[in-house]
Amino acid sequence: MKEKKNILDHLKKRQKPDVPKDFFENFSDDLMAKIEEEESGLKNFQKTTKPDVPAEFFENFAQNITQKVSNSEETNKPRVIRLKVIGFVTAVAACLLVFFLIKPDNTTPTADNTQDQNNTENAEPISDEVLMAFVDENDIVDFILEEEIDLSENQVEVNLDENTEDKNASGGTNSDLDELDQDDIYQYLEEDLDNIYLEDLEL
Amino acid sequence: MELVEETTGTTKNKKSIVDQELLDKYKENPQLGFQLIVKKYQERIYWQIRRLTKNHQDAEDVMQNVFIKVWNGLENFRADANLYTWMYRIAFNETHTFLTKNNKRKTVDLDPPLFENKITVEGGKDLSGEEIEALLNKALNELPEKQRQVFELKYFDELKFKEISELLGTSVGGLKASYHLAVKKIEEYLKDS
Repeated sequence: MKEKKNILDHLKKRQKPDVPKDFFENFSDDLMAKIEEEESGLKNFQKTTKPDVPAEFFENFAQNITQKVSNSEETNKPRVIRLKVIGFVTAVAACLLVFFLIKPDNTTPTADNTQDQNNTENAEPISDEVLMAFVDENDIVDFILEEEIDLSENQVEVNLDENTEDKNASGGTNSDLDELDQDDIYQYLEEDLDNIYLEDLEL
Repeated sequence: MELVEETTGTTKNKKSIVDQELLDKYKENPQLGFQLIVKKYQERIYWQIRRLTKNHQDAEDVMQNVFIKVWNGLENFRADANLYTWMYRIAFNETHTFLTKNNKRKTVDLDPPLFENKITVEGGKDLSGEEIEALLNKALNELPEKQRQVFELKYFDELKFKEISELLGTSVGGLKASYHLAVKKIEEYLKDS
């Protein structure tokens, strides 16, 4: 059987190249000399003396630095802000702001205000009847009943005639005025006051 | 030279008695012990380096750096490690660092190619001695360190397995397996190139 040969088996190695004579004999000595030279390099450096330091610098250094640190701590002491006070002030300010926003500004003169003022100055004195138009009718009725004002004179008489027409027909008399209740008076006043009010406004 | 046999009889790395003696000497007298170590391994390390630097001057410079590193590291050298394997690794790294830094320097005369002849690989392609050497170096760089180391000692230095075993503290059987694998991978690399 034929032996199979590999590529490496076909290669013919060249002889080793030359090496300088006594190279291996002297290498270790040369190497040691080089190592000693490199190591002695640092030893041969002649260091200069250290520069001067102020007298007692190191003795007092610790004390000085401690003092500086404590001083800076006091100076830079952080402020404590009281949040309760700020909250109270903020709440008051918010209330005032809301108040002024809601409240109408009467101090600033506007065109409408000026016109109203002029009208007031030029207007004629308002009669009691006109003023009565602005009084609450319920209050008037209450006032009449409480004060027991006699309404038999003037307009009440006329009106009573109208209102008591049915009653008269059924045999009623003027003495029935005592029997008038609050609703009756209210009904009368409503019609009458409306008339007065409308007449005055037509002016 | 004898090996310090382990009682287990396994193929685990065994520390060479030479290494142990050298390290003992180094502990007694560092400079003397170191010089003995240098004398013992300098030629192997030198040729390992010169195969790649291709000139004596560069090989000497690199070897000096290698042994300076050995000197600096000997104090912390692990007692269970193999001295030559450690130095081989330092030399490999130093050589490749040197070649990377000086890859454009071609001012010195280089050694002739390792191989005299040219060969014809599969496919009919002819490879010169220089081409084969370049391919072989690339193939070696692809190998695991152990296989590369065994191949170089066996193929280039032509040591016997017994000698390699004493040098590396590895069993002969393990070395044969490593060499066989290395050759197989290199052959495949050369054929595929």
